[in-house]
Amino acid sequence: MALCATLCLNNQTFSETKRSEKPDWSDLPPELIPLISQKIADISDFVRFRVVCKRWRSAVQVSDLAPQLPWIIDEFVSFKKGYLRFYSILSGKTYTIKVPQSTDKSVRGSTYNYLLTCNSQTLECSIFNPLTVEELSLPQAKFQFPSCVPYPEQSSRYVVMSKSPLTEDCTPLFLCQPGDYKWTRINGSLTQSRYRKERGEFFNSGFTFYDGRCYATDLKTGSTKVIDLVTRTMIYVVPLPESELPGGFVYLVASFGGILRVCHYKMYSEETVCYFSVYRLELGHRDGNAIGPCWVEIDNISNQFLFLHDIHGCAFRAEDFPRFAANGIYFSKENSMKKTFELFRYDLKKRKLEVLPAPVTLGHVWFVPSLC
Amino acid sequence: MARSSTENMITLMSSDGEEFMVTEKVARECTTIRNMLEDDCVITNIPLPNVTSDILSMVIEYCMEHVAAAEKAAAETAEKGSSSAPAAAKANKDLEEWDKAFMNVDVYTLCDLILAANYLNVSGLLDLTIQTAANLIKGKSPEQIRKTFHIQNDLSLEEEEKIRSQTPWAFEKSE
Repeated sequence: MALCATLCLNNQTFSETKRSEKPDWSDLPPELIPLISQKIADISDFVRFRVVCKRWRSAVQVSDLAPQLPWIIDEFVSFKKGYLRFYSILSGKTYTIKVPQSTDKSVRGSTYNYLLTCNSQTLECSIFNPLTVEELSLPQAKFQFPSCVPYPEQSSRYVVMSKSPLTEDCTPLFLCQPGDYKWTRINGSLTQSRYRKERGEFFNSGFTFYDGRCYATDLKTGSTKVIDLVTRTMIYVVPLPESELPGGFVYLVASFGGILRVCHYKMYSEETVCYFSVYRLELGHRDGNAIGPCWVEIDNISNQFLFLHDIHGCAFRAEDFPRFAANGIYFSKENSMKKTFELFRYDLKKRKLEVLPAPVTLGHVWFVPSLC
Repeated sequence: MARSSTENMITLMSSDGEEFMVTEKVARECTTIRNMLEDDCVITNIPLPNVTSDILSMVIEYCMEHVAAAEKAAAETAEKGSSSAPAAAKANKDLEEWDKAFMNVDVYTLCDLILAANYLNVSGLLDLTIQTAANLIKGKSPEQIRKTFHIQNDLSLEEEEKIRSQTPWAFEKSE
């Protein structure tokens, strides 16, 4: 009996439904329309999809945009020229976006979905979404040339400012959100990266945020301070992994399985040889004994991949990006001769390196595009 | 709950009254029908008032192909004790090729197939048809999308201009 009720709901249309009636795409049930838009990875395709007709527009919200991969900002265009240019890792396309022209304003970093902009004369600061042209004011900058750390959480508006990272000194860190009237100093300072002049090498100590905490690594000792963002106090310190070889470029990455310490060893003799070691932060116990927080080496990050560019990294789920393989590290390397970044993929399982099609002229800052 | 799915036949009746005899295994590819069979195992005749005969025959063709592929893979695994990776990869590729050829339809048929796959809850077919529709959208301007899908533009000129001016970069030819 239940069967009849289920199936004969539309009994009145039984004889009316004829093949000769052509179906209307704009009349698809509203719950099916987002299924289509979810399969549209390219952000400009998605925007155009929402302009086709009223029904499609109302069925799909800007927040329904499929997961996105970083856009890298072209350093050779700026607010001075009145537009910004970006390279999309996902589509391989270059996007040019008009912005209000300004001589003193520049992009100083990003907070995942927003760019940090600062006016070098007035020290006026803001976070800015170039896709929607939304701009939110921040308190006046602490430094003339600040730097910003991407907070790896969608829609987070935490901004952490430091001095431009190429400094020998310990750099104080300041935190705020739009709406705050001042920057708050985070307890503890760190050296974010160091430039070894004689060999022309950069070193990076690793810094990230995860679950309301800030993870800051000291370049000298290699230990990582974990700071609670609400109380602004240090919770614990993770010592340097014992097995880690010195000389690596260290990233801290907030992944889907917790905090990762990724150590990138570059072999300077051969351009296309490198090695990565990956550690996961473990709290608590090992072999039944209570131990403090420590790094445990792993060779598998399972169904995710990492993206490392400049001094920051981010994790993505491989299932969201069909063309991107799981258990790998995508990273960029600056080609100082050509003034470009080349993209590579390191396979953690096979321990093999692969060169990817390279973009043209690019910069250090990346952000993840969002329409809301 | 183990059911003998050997050669139980089910009759599916389309909206225009055509009858299709299929094995229970093929019918069970449609989750909507599977749920009915689980509620009441003696059903042998199912009217489908939302699906026309030509669309229903295509849905059945899809289900039969996918059931056959799954059976073949299971038989090979049973025979060799374990499935060989290259053979499984080839079978997958063959099925993908079949799906691709199966999707060589006009947009009206595609729309009907989406509606039928959704109504009958054939997840593989819904995914395939939705992906095909999404592929038809990629790289097109709104006008080209409307033309492809025969959609009337019901946005006023002002509305469309306003949207375009908010995100002009999305409407420019990218490099």
